[in-house]
Amino acid sequence: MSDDVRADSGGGGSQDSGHDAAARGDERTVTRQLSQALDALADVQLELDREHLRRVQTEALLDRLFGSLSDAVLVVDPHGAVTRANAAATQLLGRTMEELLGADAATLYRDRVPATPWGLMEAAPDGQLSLETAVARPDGRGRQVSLSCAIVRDADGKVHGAIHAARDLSQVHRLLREVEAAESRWRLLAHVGAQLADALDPRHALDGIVERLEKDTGCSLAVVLSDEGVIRRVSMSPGAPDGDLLVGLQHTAPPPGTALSRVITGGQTVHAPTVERGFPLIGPGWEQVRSAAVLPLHTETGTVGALVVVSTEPGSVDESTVGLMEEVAARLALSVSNALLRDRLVEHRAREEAARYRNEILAAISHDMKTPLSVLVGLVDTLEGFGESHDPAELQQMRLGLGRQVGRLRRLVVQFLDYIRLEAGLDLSVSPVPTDVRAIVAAVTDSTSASRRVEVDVPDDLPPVLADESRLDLALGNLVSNALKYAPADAPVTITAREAGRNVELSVIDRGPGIPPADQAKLFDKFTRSPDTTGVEGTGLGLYMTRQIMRSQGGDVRVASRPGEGSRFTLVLPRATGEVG
Amino acid sequence: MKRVLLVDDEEDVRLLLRLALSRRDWTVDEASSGQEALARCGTNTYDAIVLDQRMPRMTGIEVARQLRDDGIETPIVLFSAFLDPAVEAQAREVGLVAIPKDDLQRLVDALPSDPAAE
Repeated sequence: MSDDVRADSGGGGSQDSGHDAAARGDERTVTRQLSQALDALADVQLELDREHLRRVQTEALLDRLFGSLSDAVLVVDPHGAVTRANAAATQLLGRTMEELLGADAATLYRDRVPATPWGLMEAAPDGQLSLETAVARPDGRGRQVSLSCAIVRDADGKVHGAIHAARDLSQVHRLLREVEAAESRWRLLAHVGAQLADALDPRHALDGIVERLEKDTGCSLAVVLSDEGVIRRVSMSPGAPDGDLLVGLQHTAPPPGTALSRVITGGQTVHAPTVERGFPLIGPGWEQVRSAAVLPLHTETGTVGALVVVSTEPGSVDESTVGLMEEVAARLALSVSNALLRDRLVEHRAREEAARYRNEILAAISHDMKTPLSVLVGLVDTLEGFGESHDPAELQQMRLGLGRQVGRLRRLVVQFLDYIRLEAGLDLSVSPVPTDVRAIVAAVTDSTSASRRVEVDVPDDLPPVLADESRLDLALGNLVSNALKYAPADAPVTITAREAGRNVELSVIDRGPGIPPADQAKLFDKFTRSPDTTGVEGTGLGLYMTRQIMRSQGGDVRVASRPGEGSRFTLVLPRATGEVG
Repeated sequence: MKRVLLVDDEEDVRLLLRLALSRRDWTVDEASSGQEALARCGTNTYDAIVLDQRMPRMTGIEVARQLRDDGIETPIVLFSAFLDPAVEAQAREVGLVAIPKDDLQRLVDALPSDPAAE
């Protein structure tokens, strides 16, 4: 450029050399012109120096500017070769500046990116492009980047190259992932909490919870509930390997030396991100497990079980999974411990109730036995006091009275002993034999009442039944005694019997107040008494024992009743196939 | 003759008392329920009343309260197989003599000996 300027100046000087008269003047002119030209040259040189300086300064400024950017910046020439890069680019791309300069920009990205100006122009008419891609680093650690590319032109619009600015997204992505993970964790824990809170018994929610946890974490789970070191209950997620193994451990102590045993007895978490074959996790089996953690379910009173997390992928049960499971375990432990407290409360109440019930039964039985005993003692005393002077009619009355009270006492004793057997969980030792129903009916009517009317309507040709005599006597005695107790004094009680297929039905009919339908179902429950019988003697055991006794000898008892009309209690007995023995 | 009303739903208790008291010159009337007793007291005058406690529909103490409310001041003995402190306290409150059912002699002794003199 400077050579051209000198040539132009020389050409300008030779134009005036032919004028003699003005030679000196010409010389001066030439000198002046030369001087001017030199000045101009100097100016040009100065200008050139300034330009260079400016250019150098611009370069330095650009370098500083690029250098200060946290985004990676690459300038590429029209062929896509890198001509300039900043420090952030060397870091992001994992290369030195020397490696970067001259490199083909297209090779620096994992995806196909239009790295050259021409490529850019093809991809975007305005020459500008933003996209997400990953950089290809020599160390193989791809990093997600947001890449902006633009064509660089001079003032005349001539294409000089392109500029690439890449922003590392891995930080952003990591943050995003953490936020997402935290959110899904929060959702999962909220779900677990809601499941536990919604269930009437949180232990029934465990199957659903482990299934959900498996779905969300990709790891299989089991909740093991233990009581005093013994496994009581196991809930496994559907994908858990070899489910039978844990289920088979129910009602036993976990095998000693296993992680499960250590956790349940020691209360410490066992975490094995990578499990070697033969690791004593639960016991023999579970060979596919390659990653595991066992967490205790801690309560104030001790360990109530364990949360087992396993995966067939090494490293899957990582720190973050264990962190999440610690939260889950804390919630499970709290709910289970509350449920156990409730259980104990219920048990305690049931024990108190049973004790109260036993006392009431004993008081009622002792009372029921006291009356016939008192009458017996009184009658015997009176008989002794009679001496020689006695009225035969009175003696007969006393004999019948003694018979009635003895029969009554005998039934109470039979019922009491049967009740004790049932409470002890023993069978009633009945021995059904072919029995004549009429004999039993006669025994019962003889021993119930002298003044009250008991009508008997039993056909003479009634076939014998299969029954234990003393128990049938008790069952019928209970029904007749109830009927007399609840029915008005002037209304008769009727005993009827008839064949019904392979059975014989023996009914006691009263014209008492009747029993509301709602109460009929509860009638044969233990300790049920009609609500309007305050003051009537009785244990409340009668109908309950009647049903137990009837069923024990292959029969049953049922009731039909209408309020206001009366009740019919029917004993159903199997017919005896043989003759009366 | 002295006249006594025996109230008990157990007919053999009534039989026993009837035998024991008739030998001691009591004329014996019987009732098998509280309602029947109240009806008899409305039409008869007694020198003593023997009441069972546990009877259907009306207890002995309820019968006694009703009799006192009706202005009947006849001596009453509560003759019960099951005297607990609560029942005894109620009996005292109404002014009854409570005697256990297995002590027939005490009952006989507790009844007014010469009602004609009173």
